[in-house]
Amino acid sequence: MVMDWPWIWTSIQVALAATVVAFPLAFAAGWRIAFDTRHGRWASIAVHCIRLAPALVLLAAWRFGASGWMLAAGVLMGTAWLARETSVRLAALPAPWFESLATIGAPGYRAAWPAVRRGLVGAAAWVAGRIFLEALIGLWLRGRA
Amino acid sequence: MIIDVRIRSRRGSGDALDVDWRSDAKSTLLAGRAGAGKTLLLRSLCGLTRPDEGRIAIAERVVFDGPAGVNWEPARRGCAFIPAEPCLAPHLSVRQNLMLASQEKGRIERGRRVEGMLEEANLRDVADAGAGELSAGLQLRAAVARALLAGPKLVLIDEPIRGLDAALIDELRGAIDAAVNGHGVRVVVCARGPEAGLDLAQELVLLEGGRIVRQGPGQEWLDDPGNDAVVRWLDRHAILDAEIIAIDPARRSSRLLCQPGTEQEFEAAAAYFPGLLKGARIRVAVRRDRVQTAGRGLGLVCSLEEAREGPVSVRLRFTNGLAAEITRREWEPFRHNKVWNVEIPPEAVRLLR
Repeated sequence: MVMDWPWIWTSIQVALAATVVAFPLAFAAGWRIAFDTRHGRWASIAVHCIRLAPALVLLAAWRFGASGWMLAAGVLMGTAWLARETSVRLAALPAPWFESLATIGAPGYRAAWPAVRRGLVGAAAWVAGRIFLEALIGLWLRGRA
Repeated sequence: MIIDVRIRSRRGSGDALDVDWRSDAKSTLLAGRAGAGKTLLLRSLCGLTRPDEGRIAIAERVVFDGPAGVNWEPARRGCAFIPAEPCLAPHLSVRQNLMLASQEKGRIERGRRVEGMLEEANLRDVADAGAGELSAGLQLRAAVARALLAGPKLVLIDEPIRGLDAALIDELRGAIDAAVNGHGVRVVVCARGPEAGLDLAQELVLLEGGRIVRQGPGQEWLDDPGNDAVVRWLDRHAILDAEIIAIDPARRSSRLLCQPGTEQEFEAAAAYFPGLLKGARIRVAVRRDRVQTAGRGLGLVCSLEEAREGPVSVRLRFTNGLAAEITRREWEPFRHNKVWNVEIPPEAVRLLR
């Protein structure tokens, strides 16, 4: 048998859980990258480093086979991928929306969220699919070895 | 509430802004042509742009001090900024945009305050409309209402990017009135030209090349522009070189030889300029709409160089540098005249420093 149902089920669970945890983290990081010139630079560097790293979920699945490690790797990768997507979409929104709100101490994300929601949900689905496939391939490689 | 600003911002090799401004007026019109530094000054006040050096104090609290390393973030300064570009989120309704600014705890209390502001700003009819669907005037009104909900000390309004038309000027007047008289909030408004009215705000500050060239009550500026920069900005006067050829301090009058040393020189009566003696070379501004013209009769004979017809009035420019502004009704009978008779009332002639 090429694929085991427990592998598929574990990969689905890891993908969904990692994406759910990564989503708000990514929004917060993307917000900083898009609007916070002081701390955003560090967040941007961290996101780039993680994105350029080899497939972490695949490595975790192949090396440890435990869902905890796969989940941690999935959160890391999901946050990095989604944070970049979020920062790009937020930066494309008109700056006056946020500048005006910043001066009155109002939370800008409440204005931004409806404008980026649809695109980010699509990106999250893509991220979940990618984590699922990497986890599955890692578990399969581990099983073959 | 006192605003005390002494800041400098550089751009390239020159100064983009070098301002020393202290004011306790309730409302200020910050005027100047594009690139004069108006927006940069507003952004520096509210903390969106960091000046290179200097100090900003708002209501006796230092919010920026370059040498001391003080730079309060925008939310702490109490300066609500309304930028030139539309600042309401267009995908949210007017009510939702206002809800963003309400700081109260609890949804019910926030909703109550927002409804009160919608009522006060006369926005109830458009409360559920998308902010992007509103006219520029209503967007400005909603933006000011949102700013006032946050309870700022100062509201800064940049001139809408498409400029000011009559409807927007009315909205601006309403916004200033609502903020100053309704909420006791100080307002600073930016405008490029004088079309918003010199009486729009209690104080008028003119910026040119990043520096303040005049500050004070705007109503006086038309009668006494004071310097070349104000004349250029108002675009309502002719500037002439002149020499004082007679003075009469007792009658508080003097006589000028305008455009001396040229073929076009002519004499004109003027007020007495204290401190200036006979023979002094000066520059004067002559208010165009005070210059009286006639197709024929007595007065100074002037050759017409250019006539620029507007919808209501016609601007005449003469070869000797004089200019006049007459109504279309006055213009029609003499529209083919090349030579005009001009009278310059002494009160139309003002000294430039």
